[in-house]
Amino acid sequence: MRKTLLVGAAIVMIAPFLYMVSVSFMGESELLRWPPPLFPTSPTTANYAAAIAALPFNRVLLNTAVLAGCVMIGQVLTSAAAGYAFVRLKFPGRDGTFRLMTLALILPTIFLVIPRYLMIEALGWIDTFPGLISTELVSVWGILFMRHAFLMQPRDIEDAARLDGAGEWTLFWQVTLPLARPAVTALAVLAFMDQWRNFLWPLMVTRSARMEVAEVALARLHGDYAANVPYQMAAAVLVSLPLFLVCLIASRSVMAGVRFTGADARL
Amino acid sequence: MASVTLRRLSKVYDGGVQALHHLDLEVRDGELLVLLGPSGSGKTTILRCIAGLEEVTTGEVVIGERVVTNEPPAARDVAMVFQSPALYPHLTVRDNIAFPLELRGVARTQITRRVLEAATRLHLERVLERRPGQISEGERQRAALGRAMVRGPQLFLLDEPLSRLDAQLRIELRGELLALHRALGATMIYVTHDQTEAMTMGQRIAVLHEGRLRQTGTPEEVYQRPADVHVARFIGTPGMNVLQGKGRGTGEKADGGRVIEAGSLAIPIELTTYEGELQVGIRPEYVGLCAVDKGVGNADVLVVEPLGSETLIHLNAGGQPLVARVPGFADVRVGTQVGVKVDRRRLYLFDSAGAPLG
Amino acid sequence: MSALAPRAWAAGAAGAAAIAAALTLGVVRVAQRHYERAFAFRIAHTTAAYIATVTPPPPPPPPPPAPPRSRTRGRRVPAPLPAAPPPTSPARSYDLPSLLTQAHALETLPGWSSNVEVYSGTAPLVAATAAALSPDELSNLAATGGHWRDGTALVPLTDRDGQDVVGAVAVQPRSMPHGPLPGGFGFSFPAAVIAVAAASVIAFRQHSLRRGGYVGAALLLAVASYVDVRAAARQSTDRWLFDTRRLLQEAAKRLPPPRARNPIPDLAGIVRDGDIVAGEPGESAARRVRVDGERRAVVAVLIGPQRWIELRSAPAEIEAPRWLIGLLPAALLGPFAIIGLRWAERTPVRRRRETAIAWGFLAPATVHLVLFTAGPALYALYLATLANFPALARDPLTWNAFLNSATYALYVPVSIGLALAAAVAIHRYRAHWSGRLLRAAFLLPYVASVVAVALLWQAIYRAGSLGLGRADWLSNPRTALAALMLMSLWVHAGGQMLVFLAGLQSIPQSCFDAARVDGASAWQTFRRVTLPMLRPVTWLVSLTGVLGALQMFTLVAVLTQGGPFPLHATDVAVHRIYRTAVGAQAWGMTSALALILAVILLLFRWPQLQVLRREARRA
Repeated sequence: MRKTLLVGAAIVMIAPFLYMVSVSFMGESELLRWPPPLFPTSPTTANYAAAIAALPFNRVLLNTAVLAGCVMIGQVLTSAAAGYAFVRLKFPGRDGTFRLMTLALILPTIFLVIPRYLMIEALGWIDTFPGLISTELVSVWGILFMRHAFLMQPRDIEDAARLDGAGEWTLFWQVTLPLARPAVTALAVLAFMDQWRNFLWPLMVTRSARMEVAEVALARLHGDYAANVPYQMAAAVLVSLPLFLVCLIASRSVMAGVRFTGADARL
Repeated sequence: MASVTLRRLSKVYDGGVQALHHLDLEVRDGELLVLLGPSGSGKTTILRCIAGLEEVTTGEVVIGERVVTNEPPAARDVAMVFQSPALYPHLTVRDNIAFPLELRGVARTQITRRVLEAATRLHLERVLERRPGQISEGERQRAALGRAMVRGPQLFLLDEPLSRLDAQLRIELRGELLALHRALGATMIYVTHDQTEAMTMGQRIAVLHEGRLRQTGTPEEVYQRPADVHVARFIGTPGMNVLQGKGRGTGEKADGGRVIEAGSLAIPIELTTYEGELQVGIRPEYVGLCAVDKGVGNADVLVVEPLGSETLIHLNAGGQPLVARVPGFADVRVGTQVGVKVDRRRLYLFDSAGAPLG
Repeated sequence: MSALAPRAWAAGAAGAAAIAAALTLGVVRVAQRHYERAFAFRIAHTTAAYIATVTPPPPPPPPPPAPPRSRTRGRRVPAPLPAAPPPTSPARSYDLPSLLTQAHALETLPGWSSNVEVYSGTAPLVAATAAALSPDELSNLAATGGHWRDGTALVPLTDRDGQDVVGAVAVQPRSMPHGPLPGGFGFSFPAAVIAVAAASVIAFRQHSLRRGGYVGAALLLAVASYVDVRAAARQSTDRWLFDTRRLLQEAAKRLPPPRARNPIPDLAGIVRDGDIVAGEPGESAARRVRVDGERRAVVAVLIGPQRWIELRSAPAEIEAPRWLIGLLPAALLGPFAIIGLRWAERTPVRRRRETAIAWGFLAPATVHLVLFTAGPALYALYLATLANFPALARDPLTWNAFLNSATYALYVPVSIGLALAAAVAIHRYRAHWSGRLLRAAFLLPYVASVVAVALLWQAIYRAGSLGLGRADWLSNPRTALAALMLMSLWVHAGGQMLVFLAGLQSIPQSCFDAARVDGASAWQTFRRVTLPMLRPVTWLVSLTGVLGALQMFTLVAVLTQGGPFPLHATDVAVHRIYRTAVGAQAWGMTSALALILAVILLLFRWPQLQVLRREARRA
């Protein structure tokens, strides 16, 4: 009985997505009927073909992948390196630096977006990948996350490696990072998904269709084809698909990342 | 192989906690020295200072003829086995054991040979291709030992390597460790808080208390001639009874005999020169029970612990705890009063600060 | 065990101080150059406008194009066309002889502080022997609006209507002494000498470790440099005022009689980035006054017998503080380096090595945070100081935006309740497939593309309202915000559920068992055991939820753009900030709004960080 209730709740939560998929197969005029149909009477894939061409899906996919991929690699490396220094090394200024970095979290994104935009503009990087990517390469959340992961990790293994003759560089790459693989994966997945859904910054720094990333392209499509809902739904499905795939493959990592930040998200 | 010398070693942690106080210690070449002390006494800190994992605040660490105080761990040619096996979970046992050799750039064929050698000695041949998560606790600790010995270091540091194992396995591995020590002839420093382990393994035992070295000696020396109250209390299961007392002459006997009054006990002693506050120690096996008023005083029975071969009787002698160890089962009831007798030849006297008297 | 010999240390310290001083002087030089160039471009534009104003159109027929200079050596194909002034209608182009006269007159203008050249087409007019412009350069000018070449500001000269580029004006400012001290030295040079001397004393005479003295000297250097930069900025404004005054006087003389009677509109066309108003007799020196609450640099201009006007301009020095961003670090680099060296001298090799390695690991993140976070944050703070806060406070849109954000955040308690209920249910049935299904169902909206979610819900709202003949929820000002809140509820419950679930999993099973043994009902267990143990998690989720809600942007940007208008019913804070930025490009206002939002967010962010810190310590 209660389990039925759970299933019912699950269906309610998923229903909007089902509707999205369903509408994406409808013809443009079908939605004008009353009552609005839940399922397409004559399913068509024309919307997908059109959306792929209009986004254009390949270009957008590539741009977003470049953005999310670079940022993912950048954030993982810088966060892991910084976290390693904070947890495993002793040096003057460690605690002060860490506190200062934490302090950076109090700056909301929008507060930084404007001066960063002016900076990127002054550098002549508007509408380029460097402009899109450079500001996102380091994440304080990422540093906190990796630091926390390393703190949880037993020291003994690294000490043993030190005695075995490993230098800090070897230690970092061959011992600490492999040991922290779950955390590294979680951070990578989180960074990737975060950038896939990044909207405000790409909106600010990109101008041309050539540089559009997923969310921006989807929003533009919404403006261009305001009346054609099935068409929009097809594009929405296309853009969401990679996210759901990542989530399906790495659900554990996604959950670990979400938990750490207390479900902090950009919206 | 090498000797180890610590000179005036002090360690103050970042928080300001002083873990070691001007510690001097000498470990001879090829010796197995046990560092014994309760938790928080600084044993592990000493090991980590020797290994170079902690920086020394003041003082010197000498391994062999070389002052290594400021050398990084890798340059000290020291191997360490930790409480946890500290194996790399992403590598197989074979790769784990091979890791230190690979770091040193030893040739492939050599590595294969030496890993196999170590594995054979530690009975690990069957599990070489497995990962640490897939083998038993004992095998994991053996693999850790294998990783430590494979590069033939001049010094082994063992930080409570057996404390996480169950009793049976612990005894088994203890024997293997001793055999290994004999076979390799290496210098070993073995840290434990378990004094049974210390007594059975150590050629010499160094007893630590609150960051200070209290006594160094053979197991017998440490047991028979404790250097102070802390050592006396710590060595033995249970440790020595230490009663707070007052020495004074009663003048009642013709020989002018003196008595220590401790709680409800008045223990006559043969020492003649001490008057005032002192502490008297006696091992539980030299405390006996007798009829009320027949001994040196009376005490209340608090707890009786029959262990089979012997029975431990916890007493309250006028507010002072006292343990008696009697052979076999004792017919004593909790809550009754009994007389206490002591072997006067087995008394240890300490001053109020804990230093031995006489 | 010290590894640095005292001598090496001393040399290093003195060297660091010298480098820091040189760097600071370098920044000063860059700033001075910057202002000199700014002046040159400005006066060049003014000169071009002056020429356009005073040069009459040619009498018909139009003047022949300037002869091109052939540059046909090597394999280069000769330029097919001489870059003559494009064929324009006679009224728009210039009378060439007259242009020549005007150009020559410029050179002899008394008191002018620059060399000037005027090109008609590519041909130089003032000094006939000067090199001509290349045609490419001329066509580039039209696109770039002017560029710098060999110490000369080159700006386009347009026709009389300001439409086509018919030539160029080049201004080469004569170098002027920048500093107030004898020999044209600024304060920064002696200050630099003092700073290096102070550092050397510390370095070579170990006993007089007056490190504080050197820090003081370095700060002095920063201040002195700033004074110099400010002076340069001021000078660039003053120089333009003086030179423009000469142009205005000249122009007043050359204007044809009918226009000379009321010259101000004509003259105002010359100074496009300044103002001209009728004025009083005044001194020849430039002054700084406040006009309508804004600081202006003014100078009085006598344009005829007893006829005075006042020339006004924005003073460049109000922008000068931004140079401090470069000056302060450069000057303080010395003391920092010395402190570092001092530390290195005292520290054993091993620790020094570890420190170096540690900073190596930290360097990428630190440098990035300094460049892309700390720097921009300081810049935003500076921008915010330029804003007119009273005007912001008077703007009803400001209040509306923050109020909308606050209202919008009210969905958070609801989503938290939903998340908690879901988490408890999922935890209870975590082993059963129905529990896992529910978990996935909650997670899906949270990880989905935000814009896709926005489109999807709009489709649902549309379908829902179509048949009712009513306006879409999102188009109705009374329901639009609520509609957005419903979407967010659906999205965010999933993330919050995950955090609760983790919290539930960290409660030892024995706690629940103990409650059951004590005879607690399910509800009692929840109230007395689960809820109290989840308190830190609940606190964290609430704070994070509110923080996220107050920063919501995407949904509004995609769906309503702040509408329905004119009520701005969904215009939330971040969207308002975004609009202010991209709409008005009012960076000061934008930063001020963002700063206000940041301060509000801090009320939630600070406790959130505390909770995280406590959790981290506990774990």
